[in-house]
Amino acid sequence: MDRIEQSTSKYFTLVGNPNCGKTTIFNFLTGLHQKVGNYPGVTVERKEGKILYEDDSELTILDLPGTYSLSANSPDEKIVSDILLGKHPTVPKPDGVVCIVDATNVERSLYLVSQIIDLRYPIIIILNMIDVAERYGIHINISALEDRLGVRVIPTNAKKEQGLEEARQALKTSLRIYPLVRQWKLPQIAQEKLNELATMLINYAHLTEEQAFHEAITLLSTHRSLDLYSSTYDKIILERVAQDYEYFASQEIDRYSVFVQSRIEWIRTLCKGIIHRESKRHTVTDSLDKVLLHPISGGIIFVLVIAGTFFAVFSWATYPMELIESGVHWLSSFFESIIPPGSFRNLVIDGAVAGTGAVILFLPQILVLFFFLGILEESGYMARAAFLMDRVMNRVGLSGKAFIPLLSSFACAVPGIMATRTIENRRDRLVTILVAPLMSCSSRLPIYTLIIAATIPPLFIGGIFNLQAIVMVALYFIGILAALGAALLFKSTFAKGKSTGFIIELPPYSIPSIKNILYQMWERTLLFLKRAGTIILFASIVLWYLESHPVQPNVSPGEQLANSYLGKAGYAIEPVLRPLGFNWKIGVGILSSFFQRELFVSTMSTLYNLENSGSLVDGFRERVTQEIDPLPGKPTFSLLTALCVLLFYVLALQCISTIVVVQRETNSWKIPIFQFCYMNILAYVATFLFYRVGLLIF
Amino acid sequence: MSNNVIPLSHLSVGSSAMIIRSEVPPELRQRLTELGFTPNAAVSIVFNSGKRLICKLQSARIGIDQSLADNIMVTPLSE
Repeated sequence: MDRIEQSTSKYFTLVGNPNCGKTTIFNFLTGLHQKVGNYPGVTVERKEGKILYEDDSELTILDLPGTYSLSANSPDEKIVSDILLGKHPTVPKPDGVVCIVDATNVERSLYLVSQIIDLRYPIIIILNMIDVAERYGIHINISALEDRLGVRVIPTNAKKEQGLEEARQALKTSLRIYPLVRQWKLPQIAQEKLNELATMLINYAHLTEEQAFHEAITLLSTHRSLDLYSSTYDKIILERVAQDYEYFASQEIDRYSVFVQSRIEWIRTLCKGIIHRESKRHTVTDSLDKVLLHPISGGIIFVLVIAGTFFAVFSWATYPMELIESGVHWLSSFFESIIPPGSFRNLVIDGAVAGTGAVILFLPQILVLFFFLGILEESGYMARAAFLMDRVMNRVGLSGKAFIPLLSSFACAVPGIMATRTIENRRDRLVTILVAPLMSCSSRLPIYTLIIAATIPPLFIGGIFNLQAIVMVALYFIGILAALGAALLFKSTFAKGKSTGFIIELPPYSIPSIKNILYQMWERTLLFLKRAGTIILFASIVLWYLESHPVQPNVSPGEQLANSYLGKAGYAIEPVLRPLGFNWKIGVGILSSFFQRELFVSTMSTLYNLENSGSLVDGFRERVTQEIDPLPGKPTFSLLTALCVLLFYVLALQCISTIVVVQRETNSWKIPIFQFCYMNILAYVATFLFYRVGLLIF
Repeated sequence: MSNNVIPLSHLSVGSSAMIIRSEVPPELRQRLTELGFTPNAAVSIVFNSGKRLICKLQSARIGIDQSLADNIMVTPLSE
């Protein structure tokens, strides 16, 4: 995690409920002056940006995950509350908070706002989606709201960029706003107990006044066992809390709800007379939901949406992929014409260009997938899909909430695993994390595409179904079935327990902001190119070196390769992979995949000298079908071998980023290690069985 | 006002009610509260398949499953 720059410029955080339009506002405010953490996509990763004003002053903005409260029940909420309480290890306390309030849900959004006011931050409110509220027949007296809260409230329609410039300017001046004072009131007895406990926390645990107030409420209303706090607080404090519980019970005060309820009473009073709702209006969302959530029409549309997405990934990307391919080819010949023959030319052309080119080729497919996932998310359909899939997910012991992370994992398991943060149930979240990497992510796509195009005959079965397409669909299904099967197994063994309670907010449908989606795709492209330009470039050069050294003069290219460092390493691991029908070259590909899955393609490209052939796929097909494996005397890449490699790649976990993110999200090494072992053992055993059975058939 | 207290899951599509109390486990109760399921809040049903329902609280649509809806007690409002 990168640090907020230690500078004199002030910094604000953006805080708001999920689906309040925070990302759009952040993008507008900071423009291109953003620093994005590893994984964008859904707003789960931290994003930091700068507002540059005309007078050269600047303001740093940190976008925080969407949250309903600071109760720290989920990892997302914990990040937000840790930062705002000044407890986060790397992120300092902000100088002020920009609260984004959804104009269609003002009362609910004010719950979070009131918690931030308690922390005595200077705040400013952006009242977003004011247009939607008007359409719903909700009228808000903004100046009255400002007066009652004592805060600047700026109405905006972020999608149309209305009001945002005003918000940008207001942020600059609002820095002078003095912190607010808590307005909500507790019943006297509760207030007394709260004050006493807060004082103890200040004296014994050395908390600040604001931290103590927040922590005292948490301790008094928590549903967790106090034992969980034993490492954080002295026994004397926890004993006091336990006494307070008894006292509340004797006074017939429900300690779980008294704090929440008092806050809500205050919000209701505050909003009285300033928010006017016309009697029920039928909205577009209501009508759409009738069709999209209907048991029959909803199910059909769901299947069409998902199928359409994948269809687009494969058909739309063809043309840009051809362009990239000819670009790589052109680059190869360009270097050939300017660099004299020799080692350096080989390094550039055979190593760098061939290796990275083979990977960049697949960028369009990945982008199309992100584009569609972005549309599903932005339009509000994603939550509906989760709602529809609750029934299916229940069969394997999970709730519909697990659907969004699993669907995102088709793009990349890393944002998928981060998206599990919204799952309230801890066991469900763990199981979802464990199975998410079985969904075929976009880094497997290059491998699938290359091997299928090169080895599966483009036959049309029954005149309409393309065999290549069938194999591709089958790979995705194997991944899905494996994930569901593994989830079922885990949920009926160590993560036993019914998934309790499914709660999901269904945001109103809206036209996706293409600008936002393009923004995400741009971030994705930069990330991808950065990786291609660093790890993959470096690995390609290393691979080239290992396969072309030690240099042996006067031998055939094949012999040169077989006696190279890489060849020897491949032969060394061959015994392990032989039972799966893999020769040493595939072995090298698999080994390199453990650094980065796509490296399989670069490796094949380098090993088979594909940089000289017209197209990657054609060249690969030509070489692998001609090459005879000396041991069984059959082609190295028979149809069966190809299917075995594909199956292995569906099931194996070969991604350092995934392992790192699982470790970070679960705060444990045991889980990623277990995941690594179970997936790779599954891949090995399944491929072995498939190969053995295949030998009998083919 | 009637004294008729029934689970939220018993409401049919189009009907409205006032929330009396929720008897769900505390950790879920907190989440429900934050989403607007609080005593005296008005709720209406926009979708109910028996297993899952969608309620409208002010302008927010919240999907919940039967296990929760069975334990949220409401008083139907006649319009």
